[in-house]
Amino acid sequence: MNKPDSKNSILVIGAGIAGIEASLNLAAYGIKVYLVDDTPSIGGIMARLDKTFPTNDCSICIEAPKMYEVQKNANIEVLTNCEVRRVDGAAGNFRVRLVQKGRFVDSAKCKGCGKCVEVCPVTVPDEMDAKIGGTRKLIYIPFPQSVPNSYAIDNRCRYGKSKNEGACVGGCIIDCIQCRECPIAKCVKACKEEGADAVMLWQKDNTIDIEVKSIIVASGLEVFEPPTGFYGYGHYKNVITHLQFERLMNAGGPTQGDIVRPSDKSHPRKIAWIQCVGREKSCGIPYCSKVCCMVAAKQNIITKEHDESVETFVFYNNMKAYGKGFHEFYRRAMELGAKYIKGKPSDVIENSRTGSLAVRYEDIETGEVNEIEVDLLVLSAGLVPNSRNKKLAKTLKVAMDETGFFKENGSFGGDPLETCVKGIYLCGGAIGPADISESVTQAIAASLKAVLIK
Amino acid sequence: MITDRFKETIRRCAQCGTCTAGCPTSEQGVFNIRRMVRTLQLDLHEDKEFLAKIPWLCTLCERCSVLCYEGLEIPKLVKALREHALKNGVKPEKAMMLLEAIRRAENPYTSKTRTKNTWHESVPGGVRMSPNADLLYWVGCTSAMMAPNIPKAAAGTLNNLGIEFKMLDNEPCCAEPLICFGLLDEAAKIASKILQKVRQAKVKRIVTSCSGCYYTFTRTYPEVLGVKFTDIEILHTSQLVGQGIKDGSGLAKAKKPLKVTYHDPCTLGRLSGIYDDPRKVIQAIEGVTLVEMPLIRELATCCGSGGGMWTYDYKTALEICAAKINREVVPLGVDAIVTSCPSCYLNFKRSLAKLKSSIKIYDLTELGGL
Repeated sequence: MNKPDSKNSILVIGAGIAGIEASLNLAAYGIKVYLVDDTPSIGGIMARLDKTFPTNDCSICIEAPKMYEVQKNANIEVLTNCEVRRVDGAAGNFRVRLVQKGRFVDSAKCKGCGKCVEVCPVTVPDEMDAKIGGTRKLIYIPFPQSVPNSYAIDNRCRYGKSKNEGACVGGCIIDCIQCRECPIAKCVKACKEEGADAVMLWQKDNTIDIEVKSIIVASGLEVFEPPTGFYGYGHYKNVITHLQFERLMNAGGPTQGDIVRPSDKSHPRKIAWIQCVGREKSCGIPYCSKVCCMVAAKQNIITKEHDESVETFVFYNNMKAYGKGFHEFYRRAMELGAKYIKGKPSDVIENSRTGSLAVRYEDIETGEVNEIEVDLLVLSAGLVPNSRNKKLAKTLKVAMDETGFFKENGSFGGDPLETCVKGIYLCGGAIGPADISESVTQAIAASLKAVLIK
Repeated sequence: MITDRFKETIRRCAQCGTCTAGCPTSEQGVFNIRRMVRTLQLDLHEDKEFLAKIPWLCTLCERCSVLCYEGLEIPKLVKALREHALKNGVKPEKAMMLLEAIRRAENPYTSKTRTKNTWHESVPGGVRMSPNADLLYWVGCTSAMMAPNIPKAAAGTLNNLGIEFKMLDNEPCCAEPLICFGLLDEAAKIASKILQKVRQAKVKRIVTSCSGCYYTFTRTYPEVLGVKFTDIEILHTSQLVGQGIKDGSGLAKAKKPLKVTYHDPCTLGRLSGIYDDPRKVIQAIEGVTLVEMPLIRELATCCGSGGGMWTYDYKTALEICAAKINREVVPLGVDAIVTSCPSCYLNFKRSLAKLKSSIKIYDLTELGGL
């Protein structure tokens, strides 16, 4: 890697839609960008969603071209599976140590033929789609539009931890690192036969030292995982989160877009959403996550468009339709027949014979306590900070707020997007719950601030 | 002013209705806890009709506090409203009957004090008591007078396990009903008297088979009335037995295989946090299989007998219980329900009889002797 001028380089941490947008913007200013993500592909949550609100555009169709643009852009260096280990120096000259973990597949050589996946003997639950039946092999591609579009090998396989589950690797006297070829691994053999020879289980962690003038943190969000047993989540198979429902709707998801119940793969005739899950004192989210009301409206519209005879119910208490076109979007869901019920349910009991769920609630408008039986229950769980924020905050020496997001300097009109460290900026879900358009706007603003550092 | 004392609770209520949906009484269509708070939000609670009816329909099961978004402690507000009603000349007839009974005969069942101690006279072979024991078995009014099978079984279990105990000659009421009705001054006087009696008995531990008495002694006395049993450990029978269990030793085997479910009494479970000991006892008895209801532990639903409901509206109490049985117990296909509170026991017993159900109800202490 030839060392570019630190005065003209910027590091972007997190390659979701905010990090991607910031990188493209920086590259357009002629800046050398290091775009770092600790997962095997760029894209973030947006790449896994089905549609965006309030326009119902295909999510990956908007993001994928941006991802390819990032990959092609000569000014942007994409570093996946990569962590920020140490940051020294100050605005204008940060010295950063990055550690790129082994992917065990050479992205440059990989042709994406998929022969390695065919021969891999071990199937494991997918990180994102496990609850709705999603699986992958130990050698896998995170999703079809991944960038870099090459396979990656699960750490568990590489370090021999899956031998008992039937993995071909593991139990050798010497570690993979000492080999330059592997006579055991089926993926290595298959790849050689295809003439690519891209699989290299012996790949080492790679330490990269760079110098940049400023840093943009776009570490993003996670969807809150309701505690086991909460509204039956974790106990009852047909209680899922809105992200899992989104994956069910998605043609790129484990069911190829077929909305089916996890318990028996049947098509649900009645679906209910419960809003504000996670806001309860026992769950501990003290803020409104902003997007869930529109996510539920979107999922209702899409469900109705798939099959208008499916009955849908949304239990809400506080409708937040605050953005441009949001209220119309919510109205559209109602026009299509989604039944909005004001009232937060108390209990969910599964009918063990049918797998359907009895949801108990008070209809606030009448004061009556009712129960409805639905086939599938979706919990609109809130958005929480990225679980790796704490570690990152320590590395960057920037402050966090009490909820675990990064703290803006004098928020509410003070110094938006700025942290307590000069030269380190924030955008998107790193600051707090944000939808896609908000994240993009912030990314553009943050990139301009980062460029202006001398 | 109630609205000042509970300003935060009243202000923070978002009127989402979770409490009402999960409330045992609202199911019967006679009570809406969300509307009760709304009435306070609108400052309309001085209405005599409201005060005479609404606050008395709560079973004080505290399920709403667990379900509430904000964790608001609504039952405290209910108790305060009851106190407020009584102080303002609103005196519901049935509540007053109960209070009179406690004042006159030191028990809530309008009998004479004397009759409370007769249950052990009918035990064949008698109950073995040790005058020098440092353990006091506190029977409780409901067990002694309404469900004598419970103290009989409890005393029998203690005898079988070789645990020495004694009892008070004239055991008074623990005053829990008075506390439920917000009459704290009167309750505090009784509490001090009980403390004195227990001290005179020179015991180090009190064990009770009544969940209500247990909760009253461990939480209400110190936290609400400021009366503390210093140096005296208070235990529920399920704890004493559960913590002493080693592979079910000392516990009788069930005579025939029995499939049971366990009902968490509000006062022992949600209010005291004792969920595991009773289950441990059940699982230690050979031949007994435990099947759980869908809503258990802190989310367990109330049987309907608590908080004075039994006195105030007996019919509703039974209806709440019947609804629970039909919704949560019947689908399990169990032979029996086990609980560890005499009020729950009686309410289930009467509801099951009314439903003409073949399901049995047992107190935890009885289970070993079946």
